[in-house]
Amino acid sequence: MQQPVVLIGNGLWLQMATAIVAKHLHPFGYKCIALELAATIKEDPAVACGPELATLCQMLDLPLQLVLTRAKGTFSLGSRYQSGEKNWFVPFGHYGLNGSAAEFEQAIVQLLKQDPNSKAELFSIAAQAALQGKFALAPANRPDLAEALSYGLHLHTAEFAACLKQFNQQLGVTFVRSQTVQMSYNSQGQVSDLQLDQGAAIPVGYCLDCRAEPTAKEASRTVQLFSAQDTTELVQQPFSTVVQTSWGWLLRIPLQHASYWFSQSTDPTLDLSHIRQELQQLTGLSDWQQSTRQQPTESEPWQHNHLRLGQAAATLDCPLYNGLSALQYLVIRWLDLLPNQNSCPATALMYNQHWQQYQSEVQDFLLLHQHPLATKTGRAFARLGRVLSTETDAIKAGQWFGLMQGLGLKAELPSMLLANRTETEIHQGLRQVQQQIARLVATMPSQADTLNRCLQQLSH
Amino acid sequence: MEAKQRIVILGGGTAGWMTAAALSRYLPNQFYSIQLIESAQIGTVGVGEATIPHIRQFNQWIGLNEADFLQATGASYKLAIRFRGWGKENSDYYHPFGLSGEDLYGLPFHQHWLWLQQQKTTALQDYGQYSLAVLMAQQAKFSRPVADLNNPLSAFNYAYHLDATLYAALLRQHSIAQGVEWLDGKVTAVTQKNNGDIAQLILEDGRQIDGDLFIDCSGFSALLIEKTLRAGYENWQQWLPCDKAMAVPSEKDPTPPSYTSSKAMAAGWQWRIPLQHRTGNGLVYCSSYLTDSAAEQALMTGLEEQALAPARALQFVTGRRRQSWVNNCVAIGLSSGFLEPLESTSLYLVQIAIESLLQYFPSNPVGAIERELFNQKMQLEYLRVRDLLILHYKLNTRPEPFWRYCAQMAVPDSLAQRLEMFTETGHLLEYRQGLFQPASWLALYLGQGLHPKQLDQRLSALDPVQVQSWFNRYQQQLQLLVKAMPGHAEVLHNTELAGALVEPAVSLYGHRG
Repeated sequence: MQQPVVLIGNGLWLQMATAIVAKHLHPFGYKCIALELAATIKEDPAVACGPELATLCQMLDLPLQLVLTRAKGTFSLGSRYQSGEKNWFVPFGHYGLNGSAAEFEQAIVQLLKQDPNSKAELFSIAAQAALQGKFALAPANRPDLAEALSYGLHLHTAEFAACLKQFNQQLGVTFVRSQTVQMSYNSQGQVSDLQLDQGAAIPVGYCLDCRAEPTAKEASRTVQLFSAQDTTELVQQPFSTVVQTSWGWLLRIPLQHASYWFSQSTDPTLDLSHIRQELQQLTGLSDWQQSTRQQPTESEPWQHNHLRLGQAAATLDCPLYNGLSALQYLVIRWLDLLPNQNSCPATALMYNQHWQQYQSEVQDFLLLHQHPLATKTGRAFARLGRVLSTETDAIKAGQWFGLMQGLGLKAELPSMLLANRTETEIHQGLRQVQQQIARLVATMPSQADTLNRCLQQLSH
Repeated sequence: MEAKQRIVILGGGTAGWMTAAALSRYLPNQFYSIQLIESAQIGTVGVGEATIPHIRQFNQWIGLNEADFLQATGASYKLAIRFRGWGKENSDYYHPFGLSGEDLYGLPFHQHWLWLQQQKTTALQDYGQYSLAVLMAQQAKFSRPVADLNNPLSAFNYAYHLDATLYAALLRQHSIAQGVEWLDGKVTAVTQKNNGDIAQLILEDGRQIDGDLFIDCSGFSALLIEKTLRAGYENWQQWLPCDKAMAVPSEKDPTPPSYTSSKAMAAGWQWRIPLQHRTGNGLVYCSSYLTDSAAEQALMTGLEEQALAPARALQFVTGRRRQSWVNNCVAIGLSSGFLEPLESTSLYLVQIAIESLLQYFPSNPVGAIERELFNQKMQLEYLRVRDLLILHYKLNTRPEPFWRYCAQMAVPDSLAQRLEMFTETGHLLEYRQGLFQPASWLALYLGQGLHPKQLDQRLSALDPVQVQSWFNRYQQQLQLLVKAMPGHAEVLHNTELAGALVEPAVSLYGHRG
């Protein structure tokens, strides 16, 4: 019999990783143990999940309606960015109606250059729907629309974790609680068992460590976090809001009956009272919670039979990128490679290399927010109007394009693949797509109606 | 009015004319002039008679109709490469343009296949027997793939065997019709600006050809990128030790197979490429282990048809230019690097370079970012192909000294890690950028006898009888599909028999790939 897979941690990250692992491995007779430790970091009250969550729920056979009801969730088609007077939409889905339409984004780039009053979001069905407060799931016979309307969810963290915990219990996961844990290692450096409070021990096949906090000896950086709750109902808003501040960005996540604001700063020289003042000016809220956390720098999460997935995901976790997405990715990738023995160094090496790729793509995306031209991605866009190919889906193509054009990067060079098309042809093509999008959006229900329908379906 | 940007392509082989055809298709005549300089005194190597499916996309891109193309180039359809003698002397496997099997219980098909092999179930067939493309190739059948992902016919793709000289001629005609100026002349000198950019090419007859962007398609001589701009060359012979080739055409095969043949020999390998009007043959070998005369004898003895001409010799250094784009000069084709045609990638690498050039097309003067992106892209593409080629040589238990060297040689880290990972778990990590995906790696691993030490633990929870019966049903379904298809030879003479023409899939393995 295979030794159990033991997942360590607490809160949403532990429950999410456990759900994925248990769902995949239970049919094959694996034993999964979730070791719940006391939380040392307070979880954010709300979480903005990307489109991977909808796919994951499908994989888990976890009804979206249930998640939305239990976690007081709303849909998200992307983010609306605000910087001073300027605003733009960054969708999860692609621009246009055909994801493989060659050079569609370059046509938009060309139009924006010629007509500064035009906006890229006119050519994104997700942006158009979101800005009109509309949301619909694409019909099953329109996979093209499903991609253009890729959506994530805004969820209440603790409620979502509770929902997943119940799901995990139904799957037969064994839950164990302990205040502390010590790892025992064998002579090959593998974790052999976990020592809990009062001398109890759990034998370990693989240890998936979902704890986000770095240990004292590991490198980390200090992050100041700010959060606030807003009681305004934003059920007409199937998107999150991202506002530029003097130190970085501020995120607002709307749930069914409230919304939450988050921001962070990594600059130790900043005057915190100044930050609080600016936050109040921007949001009208005075009750801001402030906390500090240590952000780890893990880049080789897989060591022997111990996978420090939480620390790896935490390297990216910030208001602009939810570490939960990274954690899901890490768990699913590991399951794809599920090894038959505790030590498989080449597999671990390749996994870690792949993770570094993921990490670097997200870091690139985050850096774009601060210094667009400090990244090769930004420079390539500013020169050629192209989004560079990526090795992972950490950031969706629509997000790269949406962000960079919104930040004001304008391509110096025109697309040569469009050079044999006249301006009129290009504009006509774009207009047709814009009209099609407008027609489709006109027939879409509001997010409130879609949510109500979802919730009613569940009650029936 | 702004002056036209002048593009000068040096070299008129397949690479030169493919570049001319693509650039002239996209760059408007009112803003760009394209000249191609070719010397009747200098022959072309004529690379790329065997292709991979991406060529279909290229043809569509430049507006070549498939029926016209087949007729003009004497092309035949291609579904796979058949490897005989690779790994061990009696091996015989196919690297198909298609997938084998389907995922089952959330696990990859090959894991189940390897597991059933361990269980010694009697009905289990060779891995290739679960690939539609292999069955079609073996049974000399042909049909076009479909785009509907629910249809099993979406799990394969096809390419062509073509006459490279005729293809270049067709592209020339096409390019000239699109406004490319064709100059016959031999370059005797190159002048440069102070910043190192190439300013003009001086021809033997004294003509001076000015340009803003120069495309070096001068083949092995790399007249601009190396002789003028000194880009440098990475030599990969320690991993791919073959350094010579001999090519000879033979009579046509009346029923040409829809696969390229690659047969491992004592110190290299022999190819066979069946066209409609003749058969292309050649031997790639390592001169440290085989003399030229012995190579010629082996080649001629191995022919299945009567030779039509004496054998032509070729010498090469496997590797790639350190930078394919330097200053205002872009190297495309053999001037950019050479990888033996074992996986039919020559025209693919040309095509990728052209596509990338168009994506990153520069203004005048050239910017650093487009150059950097192009060079990175080409480096990655060459490295990914290189590693798969090395794998063919590395995985072998053949007794000949050449093969012993290959089995024992150290391989690049990128390949060593990949090999080690498969050996550990039988799993593969795919990459997005670059040509070959797990389906190709698996065809080679399993075809050349590399089996993992351990398999996925989840398999032990399954019932082998049930899995085998799923395998049987799957294989029978493929057999029925193939049986209903027309013959390859028949389709070649009556192209509409091949089914509806659908948009070419970008993947090597079809729409599902």
